[in-house]
Amino acid sequence: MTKVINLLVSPNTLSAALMGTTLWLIFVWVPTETNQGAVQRILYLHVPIAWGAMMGIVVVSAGSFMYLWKKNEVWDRLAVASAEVGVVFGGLALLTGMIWARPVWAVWWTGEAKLTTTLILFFIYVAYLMFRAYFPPGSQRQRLAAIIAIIGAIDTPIIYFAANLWSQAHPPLITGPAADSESSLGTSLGIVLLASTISFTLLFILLVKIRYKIRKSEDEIKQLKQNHELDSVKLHNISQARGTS
Amino acid sequence: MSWGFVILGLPSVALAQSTPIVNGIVVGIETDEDDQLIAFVVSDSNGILTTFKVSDTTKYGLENQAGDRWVSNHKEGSIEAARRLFEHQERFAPVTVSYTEVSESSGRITVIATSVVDREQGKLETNLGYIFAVFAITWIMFFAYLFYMDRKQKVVQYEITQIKASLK
Repeated sequence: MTKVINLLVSPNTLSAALMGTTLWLIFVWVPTETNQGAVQRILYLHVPIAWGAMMGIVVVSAGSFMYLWKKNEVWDRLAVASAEVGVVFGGLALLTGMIWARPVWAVWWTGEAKLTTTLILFFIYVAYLMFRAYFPPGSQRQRLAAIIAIIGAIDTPIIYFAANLWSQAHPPLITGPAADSESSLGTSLGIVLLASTISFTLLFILLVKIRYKIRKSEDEIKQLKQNHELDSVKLHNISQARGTS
Repeated sequence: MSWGFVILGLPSVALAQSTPIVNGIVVGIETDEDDQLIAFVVSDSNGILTTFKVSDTTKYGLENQAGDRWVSNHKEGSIEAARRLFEHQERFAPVTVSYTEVSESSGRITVIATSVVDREQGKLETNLGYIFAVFAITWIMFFAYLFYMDRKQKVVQYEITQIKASLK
C-alpha cells in the first residue's frame, strides 16, 4: 500500500498526470482563438518550452557561479545537466516557433530580435557543451566553461524584453512582471498557458535530475578508474623495487 | 466622406459571405515613383500568393503598432496606404482583403482589392498539419532524449558491474 502511495505521489507520476491534463486542456477544453484559429494552440507548447530554455541558462549560470565560488563538483554537474536539457528545450523552442511562424507570418524565419536572441541562446548552449566535450579534462575546463555560462546568461533578459525593446513580429509581453497591464490573455487561455508552463517546468526539473544522476555516476566511475590505475601503478612500482633489491 | 460610415462599413465588407476574402500577410508592395500604392501581394496560411491591384474605391482600415486605426480610401490616401501596408509587412501583422475579379479584354483576370483591413474574425483556417508537426516533433525530441539518457544509464550500469567484478 505504501509503495502504491509513493508511486502515485512520485514526481514522475505527478509530471505525467499534469502533462496529460495539460494536453486535454489544450485540445479539448480551451476555446479556439478568434484570430489565428486552431494553429494558435501551438502557443501552449511554444511559450513553456521557450521558458524552459531560458530557465536552463539561468540554472547553468547559477550552477557555474556556485562552482566558481564553492569549488564543489555538485554545482558543475548541475550546470552540465541543465545545459544538456536546455539545448533540447532551446532547439525545440526554435523549431516550434518556426513551424508556428509559417502559417501566421508567412515565413519560416525572420531576423527579428526575439528570434535572433533565442538562436544566440541555442548557440551558447551548444558552445558550452562543445567546449566541455573537446577541452582537455581538468579544473581549468570547468572554470572556463563556468565563465562561458555566466557570460551567456546575459542573453536571458535580452530575450525576455526583446519584444518590448524592439517592436517587431513578436507581440509585446502579455504575462509576467514586465507585461503591459492593459493587455492580457483571456482567463481560459491564461489557465492553459499556466498549466502548460508548470508541466514543462516539472518536466525540465525531472530531466535535469535524471541527467544529473547519470553524470554523477559517470564522474564516480572515472574517479574509481583513476584510483584503480594509480593503485596498479603503485603495486607495479613496489614489486619492481622489491625485485631489484 | 463620413468617417463613421467607413468605420462601420469596413468589417461588414470583410465578413460578408458573398464577398471573397483572403486572410494573410503582406509579402510584397509595389509603388509608383510618387510612392503611391499600385499593388500588393498577400500570402495566406497555405503559402498561396495573391497579387491585388488597387483602385480609387479601395478602402483601408489599418492599425499601426500603437493601435491607432487609419481609415480612408485609395483616392485620398494612396501614399499612406503604401506606408501602412509596408509597416504591416515589417511586423507580420495579418490583413483581411476582400476583392473582386475583373476579366480584361485580353482574357486575363485581375484581382482588385475592395477593402484592406487588419485581420478580422472569419474564414479561420485549421492548419492542423502545423499543429500535428509541432506536437509530433516536440514529443519525438523528448523521447529521443530520454532514449539517449537510457543508453547512457545502461553504459554506466555496465561499467559499474565491470568494476565490481574486477574488485572481487
